[in-house]
Amino acid sequence: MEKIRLGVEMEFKGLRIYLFQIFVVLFLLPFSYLFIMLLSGKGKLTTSQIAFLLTGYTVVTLISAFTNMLSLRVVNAKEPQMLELYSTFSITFPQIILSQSLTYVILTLPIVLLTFLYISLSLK
Amino acid sequence: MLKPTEGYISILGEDISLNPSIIKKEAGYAPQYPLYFPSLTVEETIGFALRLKGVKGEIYKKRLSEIIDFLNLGGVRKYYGYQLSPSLIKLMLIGIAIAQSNSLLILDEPTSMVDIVSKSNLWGRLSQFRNDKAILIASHDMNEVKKLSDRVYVLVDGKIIAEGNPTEISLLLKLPCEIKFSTSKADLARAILESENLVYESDGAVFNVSLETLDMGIDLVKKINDVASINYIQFEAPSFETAVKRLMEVKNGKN
Repeated sequence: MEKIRLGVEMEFKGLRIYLFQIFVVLFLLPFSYLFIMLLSGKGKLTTSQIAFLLTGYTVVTLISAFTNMLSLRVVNAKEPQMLELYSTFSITFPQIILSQSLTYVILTLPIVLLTFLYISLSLK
Repeated sequence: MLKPTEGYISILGEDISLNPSIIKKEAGYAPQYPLYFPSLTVEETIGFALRLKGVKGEIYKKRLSEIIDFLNLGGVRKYYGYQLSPSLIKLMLIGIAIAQSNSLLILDEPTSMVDIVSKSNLWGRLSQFRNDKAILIASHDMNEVKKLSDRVYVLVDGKIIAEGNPTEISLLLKLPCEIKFSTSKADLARAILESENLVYESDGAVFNVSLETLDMGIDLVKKINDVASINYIQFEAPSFETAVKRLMEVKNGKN
């Protein structure tokens, strides 16, 4: 478990030079989807329609941020030079992939949770 | 890891194909290519290697500083991977290997791309591990091999063609030596060379002689120096590099 925690920490620190990409996939893409959908509603949306749109927003976030970034990182980690670099550390490849998955779960979870919280509260 | 086609590799008596975890437990490995995490600093990268080995607290801080100081990376400890030169990256990779290893260091071309001064310093520092760790070095730099190795294996096409300590490897073949010298008594020197029936070239008092072996060269120099004092000498003895090159040529010739 300690190795997974360190793997997550490594991944987060490794993302320092990808801050713009994180901003784009976590906020810009999903919010642009939400913005366009809200515009198309012309301000006459019901609570259930907003909940519907937010569900779509969550799906976009999961696909653009979680799946997209994670798959990129996994492919990157499987490149020969990265495999060789990781082999110099006391961590196994499955532990690396698990750490990367957890990192992107942590990154996307707040948005998904907040959206579901809003939906569940507004539909009461 | 590739599976061996024959034979086996053991670390501290444990067969690595039966117990692969022994590799991560005991060995530290520095790759040939300058690989790095672009957004991790030098101390973070080496630090992760230590922390993944379970080193914590004060011991962690002490070990980290020791490794960084040992490799003379103090000036760049806060630098990110993308800011480092290949030479510094290689030193960082050796730092990871040192942090990671318990009893075995595997270094693949440890000083390729490393500048001459750092290379020489590193050789001196790696020599300090001689009593603590086994070091396995793969290298094309024969000076490095000669300087660091107690035992050398010359590999051609994956097969060992020679083994021994660096001196033994040099002595496997009789190699010529070239001597260039000058003397104030050129006539006496010429007389000795002719009495020995040696082929030589001379330009005034400067002589060039080729001899079959190093021993013959040393004997000749002694003889000439006794009667016609030598005031300049340039000696090209069979170098370890030449010996290995010849061995490989002989091997390739046989194929």
